Amino acid sequence: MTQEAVCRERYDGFEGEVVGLPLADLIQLKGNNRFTGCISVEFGGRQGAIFFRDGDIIHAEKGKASGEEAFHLIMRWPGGRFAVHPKVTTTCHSIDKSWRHLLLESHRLMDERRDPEPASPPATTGGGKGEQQGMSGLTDRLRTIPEVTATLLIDRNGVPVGDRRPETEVLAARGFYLANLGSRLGRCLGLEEATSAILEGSREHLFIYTGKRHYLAVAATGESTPGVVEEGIRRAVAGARRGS
Amino acid sequence: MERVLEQLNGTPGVIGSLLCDLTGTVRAHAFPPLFDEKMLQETAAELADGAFALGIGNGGGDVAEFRFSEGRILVKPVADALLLLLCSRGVNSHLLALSLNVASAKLHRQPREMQEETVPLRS
Repeated sequence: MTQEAVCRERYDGFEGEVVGLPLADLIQLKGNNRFTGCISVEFGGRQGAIFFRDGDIIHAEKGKASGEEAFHLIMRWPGGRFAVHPKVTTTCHSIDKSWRHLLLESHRLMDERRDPEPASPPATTGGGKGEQQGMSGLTDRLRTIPEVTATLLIDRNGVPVGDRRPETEVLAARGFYLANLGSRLGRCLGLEEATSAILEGSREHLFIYTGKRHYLAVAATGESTPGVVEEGIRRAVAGARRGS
Repeated sequence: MERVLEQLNGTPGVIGSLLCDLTGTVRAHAFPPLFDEKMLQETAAELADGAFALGIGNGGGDVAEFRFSEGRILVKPVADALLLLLCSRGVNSHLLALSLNVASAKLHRQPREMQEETVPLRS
């Protein structure tokens, strides 16, 4: 069923102004209440529709756009009218993300429209043996950074790759715990896995970067400036990529 | 306390802020309504556990920053509590550090008030 049909037909449901009750709050309410149906939204002659099934957003339409793109376009509208249609459903399934994730993403996109995005962090990615070999070369480059005291590759179970000395096991444990804490906090707040983390301390700074199968942990002296160390890491990553 | 958090939220790119004690009890928060109390309680509990294990605020670390494809989380120990900020990915780190230092100083000045105001969130 198209959004135009939804808006033309009369259904049992609720109509209201988006002003006063933010659309995000309505979506949160419907998500928590395991709503099945459609919310049609109208703003300035434009129409959109968001479809729920058992509390999950499964599809959105706005003009020619559909899926997440349509959802974010609708969320950008500053006001308008909405109508809730409990009996309206769709066979389209264009969205798999949770409503929390979608709302947070909308928030981020709106924020980015006000504040341009900076350069991406120096996260290393890759996969399998190639990733491991690439990262092994990278750890050699990282050790040339004066402030760096240790570098280590850690597998997804927190076990150091190759080097099993007691001091590397301590670094692996702290790095793995830091990465996991980031991901646990992220899950609580509707984010996905942490791509990198920094623990700044007076004795030591710890940097951790997430790859597909490994983590890269880098320790630096507490006297160093984290931004300077990270710039060195960024250069080492770029150098390792060029060299591989 | 809420006022300090609201001021922090005024920093461009900051989505929400939360202050919890070392046992994971939320003391105050300033998050948009889509972040319900259960989410924030779980966040505080995870944060307290993680901070204890990593020694954040106890010599092991002064500030922790977690980066995601969609945003950033910052954690800073303040007096006998932990301050968490959820930010957009594009937040200006230097501006944020300045705001965080100001908020930290203000919260350091009112630890007694913080304890008196502690009210567990509804479950």
